[in-house]
Amino acid sequence: MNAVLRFFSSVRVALWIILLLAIVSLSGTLLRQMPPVVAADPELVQLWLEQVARPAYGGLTGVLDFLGLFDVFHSPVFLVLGSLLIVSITVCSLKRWPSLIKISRGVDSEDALRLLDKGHATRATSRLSAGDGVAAIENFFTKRSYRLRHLSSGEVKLFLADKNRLAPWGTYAIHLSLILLIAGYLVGSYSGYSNDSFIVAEGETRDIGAPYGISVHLESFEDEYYATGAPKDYRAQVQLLSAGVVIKEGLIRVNYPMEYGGLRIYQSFFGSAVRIGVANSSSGVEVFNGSIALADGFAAEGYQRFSGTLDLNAQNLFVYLISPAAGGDPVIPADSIRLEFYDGEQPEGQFIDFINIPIGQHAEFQGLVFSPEEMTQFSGFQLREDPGLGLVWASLALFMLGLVLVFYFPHRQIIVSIKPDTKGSRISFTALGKKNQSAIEEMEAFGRAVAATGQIAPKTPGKENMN
Amino acid sequence: MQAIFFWGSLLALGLIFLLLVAYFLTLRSNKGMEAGATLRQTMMGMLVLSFVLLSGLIITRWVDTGHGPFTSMWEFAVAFAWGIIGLGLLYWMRYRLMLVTGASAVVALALIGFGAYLFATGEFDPSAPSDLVPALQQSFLLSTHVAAAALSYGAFAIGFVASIMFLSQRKQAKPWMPAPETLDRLSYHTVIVGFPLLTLVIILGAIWAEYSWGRYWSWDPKETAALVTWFFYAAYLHTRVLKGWQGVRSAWLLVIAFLAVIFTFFGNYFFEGLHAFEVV
Repeated sequence: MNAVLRFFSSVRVALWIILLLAIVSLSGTLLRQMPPVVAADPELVQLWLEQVARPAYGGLTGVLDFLGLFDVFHSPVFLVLGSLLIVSITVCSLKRWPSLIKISRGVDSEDALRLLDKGHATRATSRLSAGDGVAAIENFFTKRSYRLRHLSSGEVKLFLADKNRLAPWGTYAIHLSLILLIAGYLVGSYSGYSNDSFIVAEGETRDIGAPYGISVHLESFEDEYYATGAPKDYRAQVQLLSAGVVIKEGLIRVNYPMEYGGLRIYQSFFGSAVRIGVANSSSGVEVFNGSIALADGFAAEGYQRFSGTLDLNAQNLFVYLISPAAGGDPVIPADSIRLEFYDGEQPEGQFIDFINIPIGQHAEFQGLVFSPEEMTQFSGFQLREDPGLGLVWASLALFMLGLVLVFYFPHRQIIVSIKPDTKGSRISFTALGKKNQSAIEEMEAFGRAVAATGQIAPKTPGKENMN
Repeated sequence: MQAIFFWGSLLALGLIFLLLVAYFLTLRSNKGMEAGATLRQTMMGMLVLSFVLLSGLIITRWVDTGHGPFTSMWEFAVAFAWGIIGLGLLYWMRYRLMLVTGASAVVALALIGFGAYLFATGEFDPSAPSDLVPALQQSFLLSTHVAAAALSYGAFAIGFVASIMFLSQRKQAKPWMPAPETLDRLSYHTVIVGFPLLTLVIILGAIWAEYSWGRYWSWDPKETAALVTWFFYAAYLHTRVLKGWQGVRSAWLLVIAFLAVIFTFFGNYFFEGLHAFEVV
């Protein structure tokens, strides 16, 4: 058990994990990655490998796929490395807790004397008397807002100076924030709600379903373009309804989602829709009247078309509504809609026939009159509720707080002893955390201050060149 | 007006490059500090001028387009160069190392040269309308996210230059170059400025992505490349603070990390993904 804890608390191990994560992430950047919708379907995966990966990577495709490098961020390698990093951070954090409490309290006199006795303490002799030296030391630390504790032992005066005692907790905050970040991600992944393709045609109302019990009514959708043809704005005017009552309404635009409870509704994509009426030709009774989104893109014979479906169960008819391809279509005339009829839902239903109907006109099929009245639009929304989001933002704020504490308010501890000497006084001083650049600089500043008091040795630091 | 500022800054940076070569040769041939001092003062004047010109370019473009000029590779190249020169001057005030600040300006020159290439090849036309696509219409996040990136990358560029100078002295210190210990310290200081800023870039990007795309993280190639860069600098800080790394190993790590910065910067040319709107 101890060996395992030692392993995970090793900085060297943590660095290797970080390095390996960086390399794996880099491969996820350099290699093409499967979209999530493809990765979820084995058939689509095979199709993607043949059509996208093989032309790009040739004979390496099989090996790269075997290693999971086409879906790196969901691959076992990535998940194992990520988990190891979290374990490492947790073990390090727990291990450091007692020492952090001790560090933030400040070094005690016993430790201070022991550190000064070590060979790496700087020793200097000053012409100042011990009393004047004490005043100079106090002045140095007071000016720099240090907490100064002093003890006397006979002729020796010991100063324990420290500043920014919260800084060591900054590292802790950074590591804790990474754990919170993963926790937030997991909470969001396993308990959130997500629908990437919630389509509503203009004038239509669609139920979001459980657990929300609310519906989205799209009053209008507008897409606006600059003179250059670049998109300028996509805006959907919507109402949220509960039991038929409007509970919220407003505009949804890119960057400006609508929020209700914890649910956010984002403007994601859009396309054409057709408003169509279907009525019994003999009785005139309306069978259907509404807008159908033509959201399913498909390519045939080099033409990209979009389709929607209409299920007329009672009439045992399943209808595909297909818009003509942009830029001219040899099969479907412009300003028309093609209706393909099946005797049941696809893929079981058998094809019966098709008709092309100009918008604004009507046509009859099997005792039903189909009247495509006008082309409208649909809006594709993304619905998201992420209960882990608060944790994620808290973790990021904690991370920044930690960085600020560590880098801009670094912990500084300097121990100084001074005692009378025949030439004046003798000063010994050392800083804790000598790997820390700020501690080194503070030591140098203190060294210069000591030198300015009439130090005899060591030498005054030389002037640096300006190249 | 933009053209005057742009070509003016290219000219100023080009002159800094020539002055730097002369300064380098003067120092190397030990012709004395007097000649060096004149060149140093002239370079300082040119650096201030190039900073003013780049600031003027950013301001006039901002006014002309009505939004922060951070939406195309040309604009970001200018912002990146501005970050290098601005921070180079700040580091000069602290360290007084003209060789480092002057050599950093060469990276800025390369960026403005890249901007001129985009202009010459017609990939970027400053007079064309700079239309913001809907995803970029978030003024505050657009400005802060990209400005933080420009400053962060600027700091890393200076650290890269200092590290190269450090490595050039790894066998023997050259008396006419800045002391290796000072370069090592300066490199560290660039990271403690650049790293929090890079973290801020990623965090602001995540907040923006949450509002724009409904996901704070999408493993988009550009954001992953930024994360990889972040990993390199995190490794630098860990090795330095916890393992006491200094000198050659740290310098090599910073050189590699800056290559990751360059890779992230040019990523739009070979990545597909959600940041693809930034290409030109």
